[in-house]
Amino acid sequence: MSARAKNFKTHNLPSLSISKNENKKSSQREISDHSLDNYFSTFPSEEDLDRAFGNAYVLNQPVNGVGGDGFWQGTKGDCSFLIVFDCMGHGRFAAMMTRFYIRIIHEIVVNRNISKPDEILNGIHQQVKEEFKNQDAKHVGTGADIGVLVFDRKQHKMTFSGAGMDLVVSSERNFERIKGERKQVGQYFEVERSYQSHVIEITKRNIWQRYYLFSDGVTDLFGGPKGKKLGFNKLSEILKDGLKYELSEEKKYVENALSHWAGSNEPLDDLLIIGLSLR
Amino acid sequence: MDVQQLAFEKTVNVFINSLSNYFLKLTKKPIKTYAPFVKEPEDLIMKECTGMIGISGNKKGLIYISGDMGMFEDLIKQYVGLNSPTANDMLDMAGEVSNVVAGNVRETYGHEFMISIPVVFKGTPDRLKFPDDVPIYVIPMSWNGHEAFMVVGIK
Repeated sequence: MSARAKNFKTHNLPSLSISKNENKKSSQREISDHSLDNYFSTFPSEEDLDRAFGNAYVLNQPVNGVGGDGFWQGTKGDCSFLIVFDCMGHGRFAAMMTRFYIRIIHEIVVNRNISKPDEILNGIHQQVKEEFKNQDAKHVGTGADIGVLVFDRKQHKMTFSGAGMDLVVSSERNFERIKGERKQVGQYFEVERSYQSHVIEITKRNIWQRYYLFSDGVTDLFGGPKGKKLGFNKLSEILKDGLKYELSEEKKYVENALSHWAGSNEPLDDLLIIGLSLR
Repeated sequence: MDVQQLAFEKTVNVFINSLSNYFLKLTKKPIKTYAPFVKEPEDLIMKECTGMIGISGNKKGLIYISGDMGMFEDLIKQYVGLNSPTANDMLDMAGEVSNVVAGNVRETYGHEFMISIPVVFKGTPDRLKFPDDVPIYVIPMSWNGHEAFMVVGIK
C-alpha cells in the first residue's frame, strides 16, 4: 500500500468499529477501505521503477481517494517499459478504468509482445474499441491520455510516444518538452490516428537527465496569486528548480511546490507525476 | 409516534428516494423496496460487498448499502460496459452507489450535512459495533433479481 493510502483517514466514522474475534479474544480494529488498497496496489512501487530504470519517484494524488490516473511498468529482455495513463473522469468509475487499462496494456506488451511505443498506443486503442464494441449502454468514458516510455539499455536509447501526454526531459544543460499526439486513445474510433515515436540517444553527456510523465491534473491545478491553472510554464519552473535536489528528495520538493501553488484551492482532478533518471 | 421518530422516518424516506432515483438513472430499471424495519442489536445486516458512508455535521451517523457481488457486477456491465468486472471493480461500484446516494441526500439537507469518502469492504465481519444511541433502520430492496440492503442510522 502506498504512503498516501496508509495515511488516508477514514474520517467521520469514529463511532463505528468492527470487532473481530480471534482465539475467542475480542480485539477492535478499524474498518479498512479495500478500494484504497486495491487502487494503490494496482500499480508498481517506486522500488520496482528504481530497479527498472535506476531512480524514480511517484507522486499519485487522486482527488477522491481513488481515481483515474495510473501507470504500468514491465521489463522484457533489455527493455524497460513505463506506461502512464490518465483515464477520463474521477473517483471509483475511473479507478475501474485504470484496472481495465492495466489489463489491456499487459495483454499488448507481454502477451502480444509488442514493444514499440507507437504500436503499443495503437494496440491499446484497438483493444479498447474491441472490448467496448457491443456496449451501447456505456456511460463512463473509455478514453485515456497515455505516455509510453521504453528504455533500451543495450541500444542506449529512450523511446517515447504520447497520446494526449507529453514527456519532459530536464537537465542542467537542457529542458525539453517532447509533445505527444493530441489524440487520446480509447474513444472517437471513427477518427484515423497514428502515433510517432521519438528517440533519445543516451550518451555520457545526457545520462544524468531526468524524465517526467504527468497527468493533466498537474498543469490544471488551480492556485497561485490569481487563482489560475498551474500551466506548463510554472511546472517547468518547478522541475528546473527540482534539479537542485537528488531525485529522491525532489519528490518532496515537487509535492510541496504543488501544494503551495494550490493553497486553499481543492484539486479538481487527479494528479500524477512520475520522475525518473537512469542514474 | 413521537416527533423524533417522525423526523427520522422522513430522513429515511429521503434516502429511499435517493436510492431509487440513482438505480433508475444508472440502469433504467426501478428498484423495489420493502417495508423498513428497525435493526435489532444482534442483527448483522450485511451481504458480500458493502459501501459505507459516515455522516457528520447537522446529522450524525452512517449509511451503508450491502449486496451480493452479482448485483454490483450487473450494475457495472450495464452502466460502465466492462464485460468482465473484477472483485475490486465490484467493491468500487458499492462505494460509488453509497457515495452518490448519500451525496444526493446532501442536496436536501445542505452543506451542513457532511459525508465521508466511502469505505468499502468485502464479506462479513464477526461483529459490527454500531453506535448504540442511534436508531438503525434497514431497508430491504431488490433490483434485477438481486436482494440488497440499505442500512441507515442517523440522529
